[in-house]
Amino acid sequence: MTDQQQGAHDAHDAFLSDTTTIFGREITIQGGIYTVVFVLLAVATVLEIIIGGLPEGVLLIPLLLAFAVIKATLVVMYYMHLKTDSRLFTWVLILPLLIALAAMLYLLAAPPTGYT
Amino acid sequence: MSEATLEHGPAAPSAETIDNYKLGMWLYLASEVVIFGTLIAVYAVYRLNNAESVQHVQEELGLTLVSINTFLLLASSWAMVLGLREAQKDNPQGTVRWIGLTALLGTIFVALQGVEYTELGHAGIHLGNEYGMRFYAPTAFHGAHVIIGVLWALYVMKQARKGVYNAKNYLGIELFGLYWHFVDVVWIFLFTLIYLI
Repeated sequence: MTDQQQGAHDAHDAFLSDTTTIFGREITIQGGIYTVVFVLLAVATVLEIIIGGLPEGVLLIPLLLAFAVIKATLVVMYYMHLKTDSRLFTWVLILPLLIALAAMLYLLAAPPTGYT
Repeated sequence: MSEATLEHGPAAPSAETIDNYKLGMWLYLASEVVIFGTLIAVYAVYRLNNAESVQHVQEELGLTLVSINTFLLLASSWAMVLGLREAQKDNPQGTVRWIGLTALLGTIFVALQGVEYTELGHAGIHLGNEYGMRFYAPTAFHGAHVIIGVLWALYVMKQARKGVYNAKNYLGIELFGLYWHFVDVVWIFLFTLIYLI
C-alpha cells in the first residue's frame, strides 16, 4: 500500500470513529467528527445571528463574510470530504469560484449607470 | 460501467470508476457555482446601491423563520453524512433512517420557505419589484435544488431498503451527499448575504 493509499485509508477510518481529536483533546461523541462539525456550524450560525443584529460598523460585513466562508469550508472539507479526496476535486471547485468572484468584484466595481 | 452494475451488481465499483463518477459530480457542481455566483452578484450589486430599501425589507422579513430554516438545512447535512457513515458500517437500516431524516428536514425547509414567500407577498414583495426579482431568483432557484434533493433522498432510501449499499458499495449515497452538501453551502452564503448583511 502506498503512503497516499494508507493516508486515505486512515482518513476513512477516522470518519467512521466516534472518537476525534480537537485542539489536542480526544472527544468521544456519537457521529464523531461529523457531529463535532455540526456543533461548530450551529455555534457559528448563532454567533452570526447575534453579530448581524449589531449596529452596522466597518467590520460587520467582513466579519459576517468570514463566518460564512469558515462554515462553508467546514462543510466542504469534512462533509464533502475534500480534506481527504483527490486534490483534483479541490481545483475543480476553486477555479469556478475564482471566476464567480472575479465577476462579482467587477459588477460591484462598475458604476450603477454603467461606464460611459 | 453501467448503472446496473454500479447500483445492483455484487461487485463494488473500482477506485477508478468511483473517481470518475465523483469528478463528474464535482464538474456539475462547478457549473452550479458559476450560476449561483452570478445570481448572488446581481443581488450584491443591488444591495450596494440600495442599502436603505434593502434594510427596510430585512426588517419586514425578520430573522426567526429563516434562522430556523438555516438550522434545518445544517442538521440535514449532518443527517446525510451520518447516513453515508451507516452504509460504510454495513448498516442499511441506519442509512434509511438518517437519509429519511435528511428528506424530512429538506421538506420542512421548503414548506417554511413557502410560508416566508406568502408573508413577503402580503408585504408587497413580488417578482415585479426591483428587490423582489433579485431576492426570489437565488432563493427560489436554491429552493428548487432542495426539492430535487428531497426526491433524490427518497430514491437513495429506496435503494438502501433494497440492500444496494454496503461497506464496499456506497458511491450512490456519496454522490447524493456531494449534491446535498453543496446545496447547504449555497444556503450558508445566501443566509449571510441576503438576510444578515
